[in-house]
Amino acid sequence: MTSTNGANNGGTRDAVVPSNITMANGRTLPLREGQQGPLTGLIVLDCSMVWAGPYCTKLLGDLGATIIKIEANRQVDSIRGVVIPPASAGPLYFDNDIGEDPWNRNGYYNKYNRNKLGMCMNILMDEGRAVFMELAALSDVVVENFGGGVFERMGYGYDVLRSVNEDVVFVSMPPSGNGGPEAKYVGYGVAIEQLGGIVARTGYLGDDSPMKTGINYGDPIAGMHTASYIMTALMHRRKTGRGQYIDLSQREATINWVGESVLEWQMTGEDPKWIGNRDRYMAPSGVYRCTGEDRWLALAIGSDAEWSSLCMAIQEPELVTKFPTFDARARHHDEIDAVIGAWTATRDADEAMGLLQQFGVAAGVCSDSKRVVEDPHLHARGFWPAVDHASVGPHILAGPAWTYDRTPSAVYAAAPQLGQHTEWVLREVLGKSETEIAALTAAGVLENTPEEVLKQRAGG
Amino acid sequence: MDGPLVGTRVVDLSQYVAGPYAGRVMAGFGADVIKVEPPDGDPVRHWGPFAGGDPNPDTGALHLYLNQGKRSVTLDLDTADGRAVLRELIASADVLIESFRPGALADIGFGYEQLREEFPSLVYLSVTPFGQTGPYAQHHAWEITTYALAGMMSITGEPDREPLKNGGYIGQYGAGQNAYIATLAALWERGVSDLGQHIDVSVFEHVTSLLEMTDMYYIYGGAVYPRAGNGARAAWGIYPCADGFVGVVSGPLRRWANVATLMEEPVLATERYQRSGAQAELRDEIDALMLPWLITHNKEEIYQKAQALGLPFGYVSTPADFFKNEQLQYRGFFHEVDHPVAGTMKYPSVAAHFSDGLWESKRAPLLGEHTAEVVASLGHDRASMERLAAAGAFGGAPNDRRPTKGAAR
Repeated sequence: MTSTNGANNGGTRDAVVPSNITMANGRTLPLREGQQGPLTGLIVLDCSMVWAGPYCTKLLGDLGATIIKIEANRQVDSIRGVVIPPASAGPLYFDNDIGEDPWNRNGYYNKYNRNKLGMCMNILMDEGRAVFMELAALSDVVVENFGGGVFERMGYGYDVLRSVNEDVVFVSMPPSGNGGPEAKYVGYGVAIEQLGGIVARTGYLGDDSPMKTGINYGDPIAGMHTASYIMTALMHRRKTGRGQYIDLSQREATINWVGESVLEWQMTGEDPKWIGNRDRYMAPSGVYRCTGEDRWLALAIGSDAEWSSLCMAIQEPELVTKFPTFDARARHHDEIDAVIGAWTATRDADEAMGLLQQFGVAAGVCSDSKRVVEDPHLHARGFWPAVDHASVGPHILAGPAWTYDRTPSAVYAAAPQLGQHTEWVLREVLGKSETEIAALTAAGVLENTPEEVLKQRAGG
Repeated sequence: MDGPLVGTRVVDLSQYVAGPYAGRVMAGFGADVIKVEPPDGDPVRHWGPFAGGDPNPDTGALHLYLNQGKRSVTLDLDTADGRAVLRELIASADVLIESFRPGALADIGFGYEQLREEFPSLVYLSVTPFGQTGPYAQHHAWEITTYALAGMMSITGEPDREPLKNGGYIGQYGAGQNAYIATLAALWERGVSDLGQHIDVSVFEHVTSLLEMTDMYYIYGGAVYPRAGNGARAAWGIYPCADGFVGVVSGPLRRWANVATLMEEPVLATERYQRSGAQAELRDEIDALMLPWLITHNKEEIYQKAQALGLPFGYVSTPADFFKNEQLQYRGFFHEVDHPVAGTMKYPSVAAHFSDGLWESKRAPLLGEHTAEVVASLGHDRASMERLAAAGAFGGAPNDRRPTKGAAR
């Protein structure tokens, strides 16, 4: 559907870096500065919000695909935060300052929407609907993550999209999938991680109740699955010429990451247990307090040889033969924990990690958000690339988990301000004239300020 | 239906969870994934529990799940003949997956730099705890190590207790999921360029990329994100019920009155509890009003009734619950798969319906089950196979397996 043009690689191993994309409407779209990666040339129309869908399109955008994200000023992506927050809204806002346009200054949104083109357009009005269908006609992939059936009721079902784009890959990702008794159920990540089996194995050893995880796992797990399945469907399309409707269930995606527990239950009839930081195959395994406030070192011992290394490192050589096997160590876990804890208690966590790693022990500092952002290894690998955001200026962002040697993935552009690229997309992607754009603006289809703010301004 | 990856051959040298999970997804979508194992198998084969109870390299739960749909070839890479067979296999492959300590494969002649000239279209996927470069590249890690370093443990658990790890292998599964995406993107690009490349996936970077917005707390606001346990406000967290635990998620404030309706407790709908901020300030009072109803109702019932009122509740599901849930049965998520030693069980399959199908669930291979057939397909006749076997290329004879390490666990 799309192809990339540009310098031929001439038989060298240099990346084929295209300068533009030839789109299905015959137009040529220039690539943005720094846009590169193995998916350059693909166009993704992104109607998703919050975390699951945007996580998926973030992955595809990092790989070079052109992502056109559509929001409406009546319903901006909710991870932009409350549209009119209190001034004390806190550290998610750049420099702790909500500024004049808080919806553009929220770190949650700005993390997951980098590299995307941002449109703000009412796709329920006729004029907006027409623009949307023009975009859908030239997109390789369309992603939505509304509740089950909502997007279809808005008039954008798979059949409608396919009527203008026969081989489109269309993704829908409600909590429990479309169809079936729970098709219309609502779900946030906090519930999906429970329904998907992660929480049943998470909690302190000996506690009566399991523990919530630190994030809302359902969303990123669904997002990664969706990106996986989009790539699969695109390979299928290349082979067969056929598009695809992908109906993802966030709950099922989560179960895939605890897959072995499903088999374990069938083997043993026992429910999963929470065992804190201990491990069924490794002992000792835990976290140990170091000097400083709330500083801890995590480690696990996966073999008898690693146990010897640990004992040598902490200068307790007699423990090598005292607890020579996994079984012995598991039986005396508390006693061993006390010995390791006494050793770490007087040491800095980073120094202890460095020393234990020299002995081959799998030790790691329990980083807080400051330490992980400053981690020397991540910086050495270029994991925290910098972008320059139109509202807040330059800042760093977490990169993807992969590095390519020939077609580098890139974080090249900050997240869009609400509607930052509306006119650019209309002009460059669809070839609209200034007159046509003015007509859309006059019709009220395009509006780059949240409706709530406009009302407040009108009222004030 | 031919899967989209039919015709793609993957040589999977990876062990434990992350790399093998990427290979599992490739196999489900039709790739010919050849798992190359040391003679006593991927160490994960020795992790229980085991179907039938006794340790057996063919029946461990992780192995059965992670290696679904693959073929197994045992090669002793300490022998020159074992390495020669691996080289022939790589010549036939589109993708190689490996999870060794960076540099270990180069030591025996299979580093990417050593292969790329001869096999320019090979996609070489490395999945390791810290990636191929950087100061921690040679560090050792298990699941808890990367979890801790990435900042996930410091935000999990109670503020006045130690940081907590999630159960299971979320870090490794996720690295495998990323590896799948990255590999397919490389194959997509290869369709245009005819060139492979080296992909370096890091478990540490994957877990760091999962931090919802806690890194942004520091990057944007200079603040450290706290551990908050089971939630700082009422009606947003884990609560006990008659037969387990439910996720009470009260959702948007406009639906708060539905919580009162659900729990047959009209007091909850009064202004005192309904106003903005009440769920944080009056947590104990609200909990006391909800608990009598919660502990007299079952989790699935609470979930269904809450959802009927538009409340986004969940519940702490166990595998037993999965098999009772109507929606999962309706979608046919669990596929019955037969295995000659482990027997018939229901396996999680693929988390989406595709209009063209695309996924097929198959069983995991026995250790070395396909050594003979795969090596023969490389052009070795009977005499050649016997010579290789005598030279120890495949390790010991099948009847001569060393005792499994799992026995000690």
